[in-house]
Amino acid sequence: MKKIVILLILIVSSCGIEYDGETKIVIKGKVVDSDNNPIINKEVNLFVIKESSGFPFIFYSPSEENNIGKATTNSKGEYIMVIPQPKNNFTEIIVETNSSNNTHNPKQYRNIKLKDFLNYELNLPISKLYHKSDLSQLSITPNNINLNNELKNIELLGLVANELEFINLPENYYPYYQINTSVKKNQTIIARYTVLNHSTNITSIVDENIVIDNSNQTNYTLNY
Amino acid sequence: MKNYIFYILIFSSSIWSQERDQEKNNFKVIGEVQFAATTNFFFGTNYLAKGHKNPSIGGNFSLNLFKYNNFKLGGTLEKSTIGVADTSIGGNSNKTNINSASVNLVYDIYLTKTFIISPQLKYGGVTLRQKDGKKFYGSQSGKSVGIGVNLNYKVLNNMSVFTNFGYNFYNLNTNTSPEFESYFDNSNSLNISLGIKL
Repeated sequence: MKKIVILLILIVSSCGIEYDGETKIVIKGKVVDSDNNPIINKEVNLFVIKESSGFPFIFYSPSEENNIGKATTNSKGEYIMVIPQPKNNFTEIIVETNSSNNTHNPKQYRNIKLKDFLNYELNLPISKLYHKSDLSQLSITPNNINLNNELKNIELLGLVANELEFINLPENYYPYYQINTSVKKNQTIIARYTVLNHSTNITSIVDENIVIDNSNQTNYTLNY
Repeated sequence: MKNYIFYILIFSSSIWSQERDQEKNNFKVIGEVQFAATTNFFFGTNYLAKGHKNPSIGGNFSLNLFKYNNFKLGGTLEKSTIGVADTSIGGNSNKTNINSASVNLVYDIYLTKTFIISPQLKYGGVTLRQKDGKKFYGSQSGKSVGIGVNLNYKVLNNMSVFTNFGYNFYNLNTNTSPEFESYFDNSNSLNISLGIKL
């Protein structure tokens, strides 16, 4: 077993991501607070990773070795990063804001692909960061009451921190990624979920209201 | 690299022996070798100037092979390193290595028996390589042209010390958004070198 582990480590460590130094790709974005005011001097990091292990994608932890781009927001909260284009031996590009700040939530744009760049440039959506004291941790427990139903997706509508946002849904996307997330306190969130009934083959979209009060933790059971 | 220098020295010494036979002609095959420490100050609105901690530090090796009257033709290999100042535009690397190879045309003006001024033209290729630990950011190639002047002082019959001042223009192969094209596809530098000529 030890030999297998060592072999795997050697294989992984010897297969670095290759870059095309003559092709430079541009990533632009903006960081604001919950009131849409620009957040200045905020560090933004870009990681290029490849699926080098059997761990599910969601558990990937960015490291310095994959930290290819590093920028700081300007007085308008805007950032620009230009990096050499990774060649085909990579899985995804990740842009991460606020990874080590304790006052606001972190934010990651995941699964960015080269096809998302138009004319070598990608404009990311605005990253809205909430003060952690304004956030409640929403935990939704799916409860399958009809065995013919399959939960296909959950979308949360409202003031949601969206700490993990997929630019492209991964192949092994699991809707439950959305069920543990941070949302702003004192609001009503709409949980819009998609259910496929295998006996009728009908897909339904259902909305449910979730009331978020002032507590730090909100638990909700979603019966489908 | 050591092997390279060894073969070049062997090659140049064999050429020296041919030199005597050909002195009757204006055209000569010579083997003039130069080693120099060099520094480049990049300027303008471009990646090497704005995104790096100028100047670069490095060394070069030149071999002049042919002589016709006061003209000499040869080549130069240069390798230098420059620190990265801006990690946002260009990549999170800490240094850039600049490798170049050029063909040189030199003209010697003998001011005195010991003091020679040598204007020169250079044309060749350049490659930028960025590496930071295990991260290798690929390489960017291009062309370079340069003009300069060597101020040579003969200290021994077969040895001179010299300093070189020059201007270089670089045109690099770049594919990027129009906003950053001119930032990455060209650069300029002023260089100063100090070395010995054998």
